[in-house]
Amino acid sequence: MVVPVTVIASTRPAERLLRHVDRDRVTVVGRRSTAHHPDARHVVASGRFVVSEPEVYFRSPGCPCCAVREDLVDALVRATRRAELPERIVVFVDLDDEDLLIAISTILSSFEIIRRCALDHVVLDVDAVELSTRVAIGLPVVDDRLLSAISVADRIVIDQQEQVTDDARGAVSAALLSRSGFGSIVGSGTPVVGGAASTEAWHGAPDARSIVGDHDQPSTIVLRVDEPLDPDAIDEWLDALVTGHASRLLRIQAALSVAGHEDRTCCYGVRSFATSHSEIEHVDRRSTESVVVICGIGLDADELWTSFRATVAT
Amino acid sequence: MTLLSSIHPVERFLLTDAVRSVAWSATDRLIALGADGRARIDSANELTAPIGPDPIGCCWVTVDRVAVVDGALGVMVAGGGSVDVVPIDGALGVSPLAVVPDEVDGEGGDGVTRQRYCAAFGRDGLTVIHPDQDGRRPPTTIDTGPIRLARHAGGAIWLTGGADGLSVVDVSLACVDQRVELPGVVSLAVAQRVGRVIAADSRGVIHMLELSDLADGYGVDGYPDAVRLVDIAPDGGLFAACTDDEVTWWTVSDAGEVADQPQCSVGHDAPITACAIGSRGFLATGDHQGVVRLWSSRLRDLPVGVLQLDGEITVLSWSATGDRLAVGSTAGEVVVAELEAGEMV
Repeated sequence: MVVPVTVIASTRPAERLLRHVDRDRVTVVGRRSTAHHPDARHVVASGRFVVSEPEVYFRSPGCPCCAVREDLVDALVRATRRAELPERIVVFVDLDDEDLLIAISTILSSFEIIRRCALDHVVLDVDAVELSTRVAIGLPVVDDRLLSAISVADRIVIDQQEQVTDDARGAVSAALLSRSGFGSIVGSGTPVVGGAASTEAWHGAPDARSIVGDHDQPSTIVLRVDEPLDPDAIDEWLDALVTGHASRLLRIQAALSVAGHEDRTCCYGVRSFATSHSEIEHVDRRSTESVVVICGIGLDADELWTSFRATVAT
Repeated sequence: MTLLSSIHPVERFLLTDAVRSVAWSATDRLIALGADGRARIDSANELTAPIGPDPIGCCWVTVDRVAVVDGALGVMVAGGGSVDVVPIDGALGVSPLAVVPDEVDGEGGDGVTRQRYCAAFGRDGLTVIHPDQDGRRPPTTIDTGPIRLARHAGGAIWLTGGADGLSVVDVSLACVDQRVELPGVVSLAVAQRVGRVIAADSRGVIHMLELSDLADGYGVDGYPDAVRLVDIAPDGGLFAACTDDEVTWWTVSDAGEVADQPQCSVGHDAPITACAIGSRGFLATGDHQGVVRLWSSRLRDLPVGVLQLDGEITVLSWSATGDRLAVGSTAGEVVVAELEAGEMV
């Protein structure tokens, strides 16, 4: 059995995130300081807290594309080597000093992890009071710490909404959605972990919208065609996309209808890592439309559309 | 040619959760630690109370005391009616000092060697704990930088591995003696008797190095991913690597020359999850489906023994003599098997 993994990223203290974890069979992966917080007592006492202090290994020195969170490999192996498997694993990522994309690429790419766990969705947890204060004093709502997380998150939880005015809440929501191609905003009372919250958001055709960012800001580009793609041409196009953009590619997700294949092929990844499988493994959905969503920095939408369109089988 | 080696289970018991770690003492006592923190020592009918909420590993530090490393708490040294907690932030493992020359702890002079301390390792470096000093001698941490692996290399020397490569640490001088830059050490094994080191890095390269000259090593490449399971025989004459379902081993001459061709075998039908070479030269491998196979370096394609447990094999550990093998699984099953080594006829 493969255990679904939810990644919850935040700039807030991790103990504030424990409210998302109120189910008995959810295992938390977080830092030792969080394990020692009184609010973590019930999770730790029941043996469902796996301590993991971030440690990044680089296959090539300093290259974020080749980085692996070695601690996360150990932690997820430990979390799943149990007599009774957890129903879900939640990984806390502190955006102040951890790279969310390295955590995601580790979960997607480590052989040790992918035969035990699968990334289900990425949640960004933000504080309405903090962000609305930024609006009030004239700072941008989204700072550098949040930028890549907003770009790749599937859900954005705005906590403490009741502490701000409707106008402030609206301004914060609008600012977040204007940067998020994949995410939807959920209220702080909505469960984001377990049960009905399971989304398999990284599999299948992405439900995303185009976002145009400034030249050094992430953009999200959605490409669609309803004709079968040439298998060799689309392979080459994907290779060129990944190798050409590498660390500037924050997230890619696609469902591709390829000539000669009955089911669509799903592709997903971050930075220079991408993987694929048949859509039927996760979703029983028959469609002939090909959808590609690319989120990254410095993307040329027109060039991407032209080159993608050229992969249609003749 | 006939090989009559065989392996027989002599004891089988259950923990209340997956087996996280097993460890033999120098006198063949066994501790088996569960993922719920409960442990069984020797053939006691009862398990201990939970020692920690996030147990990672354990070892024997004296003839009657054990150390358990826990991600949340640090290191607990228990036995003889007391538990001492050494709070180490980011601890990942603990290893015994199997044989300690007297000069290391500054006592004796009678030529008798004793177990005197254990070393915990993790984010803060290598921490030396003196469990039999009744608190008179506090733990000392040697700043090696963050490490994920540590192995005792004999005497006062330890090998540590981390994101920046390998370090040789001299515990008696409390300093890092040498460093070898590697792109992240993911697995590490040491043959103490001959000072030979096997280290696998994050690019998929396996390095064989001699402690006497770490700059001049032998590399095995061609693996697409990091090799997380390596081991070397205590006499340094054989080392092995496991990736996916494949076991590969190499023989090494007394002069330290690696055989041109590795012995290679598709050893399992499921991903291999544990491997260990004992002092009698037998390699044990365990897989995701609970199968344990025993290999002789003299027979390349067929295992000389097989065991079956419930669940994924989590640990394999040979006793110091290489006569007994302890195996643990995610189902909480622990099997102790005895080896009967055959002869070439």
